[in-house]
Amino acid sequence: MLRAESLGITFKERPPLRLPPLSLQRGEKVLIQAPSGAGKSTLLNLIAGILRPTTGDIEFEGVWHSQRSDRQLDQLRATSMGLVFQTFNLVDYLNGWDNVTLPLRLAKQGITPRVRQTIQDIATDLQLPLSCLGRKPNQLSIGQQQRVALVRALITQPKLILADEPTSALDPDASAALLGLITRRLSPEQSLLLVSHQQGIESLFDRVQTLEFDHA
Amino acid sequence: MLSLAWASLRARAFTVGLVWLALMMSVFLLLVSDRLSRAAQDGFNRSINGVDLIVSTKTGPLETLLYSVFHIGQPLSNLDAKHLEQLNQDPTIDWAIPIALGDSHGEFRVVATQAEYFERLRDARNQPMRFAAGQAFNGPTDVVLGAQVAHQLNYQLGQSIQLSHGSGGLGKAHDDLQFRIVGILAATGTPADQSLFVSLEAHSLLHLGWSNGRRIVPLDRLEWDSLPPVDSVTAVFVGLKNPLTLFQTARRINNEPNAAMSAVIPGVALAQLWSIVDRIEAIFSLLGGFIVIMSLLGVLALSLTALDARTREMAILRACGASPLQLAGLVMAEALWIALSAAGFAFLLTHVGSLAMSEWLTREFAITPHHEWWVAREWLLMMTVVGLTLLCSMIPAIRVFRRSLQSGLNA
Repeated sequence: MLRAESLGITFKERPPLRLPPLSLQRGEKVLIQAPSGAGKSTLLNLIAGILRPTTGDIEFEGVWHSQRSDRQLDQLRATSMGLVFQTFNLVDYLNGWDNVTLPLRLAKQGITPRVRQTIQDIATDLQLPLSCLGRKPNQLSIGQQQRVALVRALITQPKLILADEPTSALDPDASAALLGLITRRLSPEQSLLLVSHQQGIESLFDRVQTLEFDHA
Repeated sequence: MLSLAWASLRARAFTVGLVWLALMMSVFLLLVSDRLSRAAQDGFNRSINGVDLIVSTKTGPLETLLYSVFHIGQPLSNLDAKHLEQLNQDPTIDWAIPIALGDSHGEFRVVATQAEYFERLRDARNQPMRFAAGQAFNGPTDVVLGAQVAHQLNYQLGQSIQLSHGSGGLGKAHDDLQFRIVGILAATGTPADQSLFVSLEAHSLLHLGWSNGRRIVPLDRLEWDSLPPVDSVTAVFVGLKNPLTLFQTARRINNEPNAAMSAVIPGVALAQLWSIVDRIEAIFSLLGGFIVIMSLLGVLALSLTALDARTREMAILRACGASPLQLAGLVMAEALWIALSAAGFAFLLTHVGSLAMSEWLTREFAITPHHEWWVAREWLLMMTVVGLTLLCSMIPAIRVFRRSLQSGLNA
């Protein structure tokens, strides 16, 4: 369902970057191991359609990114992808609930009772107390903030979850526990692409790929 | 997007509040100065209501207006009884009320006229003059006070006061002659508020027995019942039977063969006079405009400086599916909130303020601001400020747009 070929990108003030090929099957959970600062964020930006590659292309669900308009890529991100970063995932002036429903509001989708139920279910599965959704990010612990961000990433039932070291701010035990909750929460239709340099979590994934980025 | 913008502004309440306050105050200032200057112009244009023509000796229309209506300066010569008679016999003229100036009470001028003055002349709202207390003068030692005179000097009905010969408090008090206050006019919003009114007979009385500024005959030796008829007046207020004959009558008076009189149409002369005063108003508007521009720069500075601190927020919004255009829209929506609420609040403040201060302004400055919600000029002014704010906000909005296209998410 995801294929990236001969990706390369040129930046104004940074050396150009060539990315190794990458592919992902439907329902597959892949761990990408790469050192920090190697270009993982750029890779995720490219897959999410936030950045356009200078060379190469990405195929998602049978359509190449180059064939989609910017607006279509934005919509794709709002409806078919869930993104989670390392830290600071939440808009600090919105409470947990408003953060979670942000993709829906940006995609101009209504918040139906069913959506509410889904949010509650995901929060329960990720062991996030519902009361946390009423609080602002600065009133939540790091672990709770990451859980809110995960609820948001899962709320649209996305086909692909892109996660950039989502648990690295947590201690190893808590990190492994939360990753376990995430992988168990995913349906067989949902794929996960998780970038991390954390060791000892490989067993939670179907496949581990080590990426070598080429800074030309 | 608007609710997101609102939440974002609320999170920065203090800094946003300061910028909002600056913009609000500047719009308020602009609205107030506009409303006051229009009220002043209105009041100015209504300084004399109910009068079709002002007839005086041959002078320029501005001079006539200045001394007969605003009581500024002195006429070079007076009209005499013969002229008054001539006006009274003019078939197109309905009524002619003479006024005689030349006396004062402290800083206020005394207008000697007929009691009919109070029936014929109208206040700034074009309503008949009203007495707040008492009535028109009836005897030669009765005096009627304008609202501001009574208020400022704290005079009551029945009190006795002295009038001075001459003006501006420099004259000599006719100290042996006491005038009794028999009436106090309600505020009119015209120069009448700053005047005292006596009968023409009283005017003669005041001047009787004086020669070259010195009294030669004491008052107690005067025969009260044998006062001489009024032989000279400063100007005559004229009402026409048919307003359509206005220009024709004015022309006829001005073209009198002996060229002794000139007739001034108050509206025309007032417009001429205002065009001089108007420049001050233009300067005020210009200053107001500058202040608005400065506070707009404040709004601009606020959103530009906030941008760097908001890189993360923009990245999250992008990740959640916001397009660069939506992010630019967010920045503009924030500016729209600030502008709309500042302009709205400023308008409300102006409106409530002018309602609350109306009476005081009328009493103290003879300015009566209007209280209408819809005045095209004011709304245009507010819309201009809102429009300019939006225009300014395009600078940070474009920056956000371009940055979000180039930089992506930096995790």
